[in-house]
Amino acid sequence: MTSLLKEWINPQVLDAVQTFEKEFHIKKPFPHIQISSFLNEAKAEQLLKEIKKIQFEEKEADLFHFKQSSDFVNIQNPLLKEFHACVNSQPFREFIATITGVPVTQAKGIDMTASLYESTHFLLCHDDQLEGRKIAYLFYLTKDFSEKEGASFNVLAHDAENHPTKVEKRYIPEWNSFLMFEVSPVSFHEVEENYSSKKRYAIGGWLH
Amino acid sequence: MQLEAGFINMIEKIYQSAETQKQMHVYLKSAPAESIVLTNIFEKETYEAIQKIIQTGTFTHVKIPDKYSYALLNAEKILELNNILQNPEWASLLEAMIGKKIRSQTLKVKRFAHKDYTLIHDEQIKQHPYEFCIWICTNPWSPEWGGNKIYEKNEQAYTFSPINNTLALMKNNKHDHDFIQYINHTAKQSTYILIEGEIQL
Repeated sequence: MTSLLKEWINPQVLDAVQTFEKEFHIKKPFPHIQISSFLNEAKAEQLLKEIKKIQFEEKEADLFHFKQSSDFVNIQNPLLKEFHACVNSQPFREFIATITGVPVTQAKGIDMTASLYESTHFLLCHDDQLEGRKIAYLFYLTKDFSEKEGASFNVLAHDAENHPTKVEKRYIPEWNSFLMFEVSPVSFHEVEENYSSKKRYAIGGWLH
Repeated sequence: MQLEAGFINMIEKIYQSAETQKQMHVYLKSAPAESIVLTNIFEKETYEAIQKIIQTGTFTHVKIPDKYSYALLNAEKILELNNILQNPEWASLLEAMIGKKIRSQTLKVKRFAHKDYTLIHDEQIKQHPYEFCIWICTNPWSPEWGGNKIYEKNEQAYTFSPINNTLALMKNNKHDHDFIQYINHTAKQSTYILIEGEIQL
């Protein structure tokens, strides 16, 4: 385990890989997991402080309306550059591969952007399937969101023909939590509309 | 209310003049959006008859999360609505704008409210050369609430906002797409009715 990983990730998280592996695989309707207190607290605070400085572009289509940064692969901000390097590192990929059983250990690069959901923003139901995407991940950097304020990450069930049906589980944006799932033909999910005036920050993307 | 074979003067007078209809035809042919929008389309009596059909109908909410979410009017009421739109004045107006005879039209009536939407799908193909939309709004609709109909054609996006008693007639190309924007919480309890018609020539 590199010092970079230990610098960023909560040691209790690094020690609980076996527990997470079991939890990931039994989760329905498709393998996923949310891990609380994922990053070292000070690092999480620093991350939030830095992403508030970067530029977000409004993105709008039939499926979504939110704000997004450019990919961190070319980011100049030193802290965010370091974070990108950590998530793209071999040890982090091995950590993810151990939990998920999905081989993401090849250095094919990652997608990483910051997202910002403001009032009325949303992301409607989809499965994330695009060539090469194996694991979708999110680091939540949002504080004090309650259920009635919306902006939850929802996981949807599917029928026998693999069409999405209804919301099976809601994950309220929890400060310093990490959520990931295996991308598949049934990994249907959405981000509920943000009903509040609060800003919902996250950093996320895909491991290939 | 007994519906007659047709209301006299169901369409706003201004749209009935031959000169205006000629201009509308030219406009439809040449507009980049290949569409035309006519506000205050129905005269008072016809509008109220349509409103009554809608108000006395039953709407059933349907949702396939990765495709659409809205409420559909029951078939019996759609038939009543279709009876009104069998009026020769209606066909005459559409034919004047299109420049061709209409064989038939198929109606769907949807109600949109907060959390409703439709999504584009690649397998969507426009089956009919023309289609129309009629909006019936209980109160003025604000575009910031969402719910706008967005047409994507020739790599351009054209927005049609719900305006009460308004007709939009669109010429379709096979691979055009359209969707209804997600309606956000600022719409509160507001809803609108969208009458969609597919025209067979």
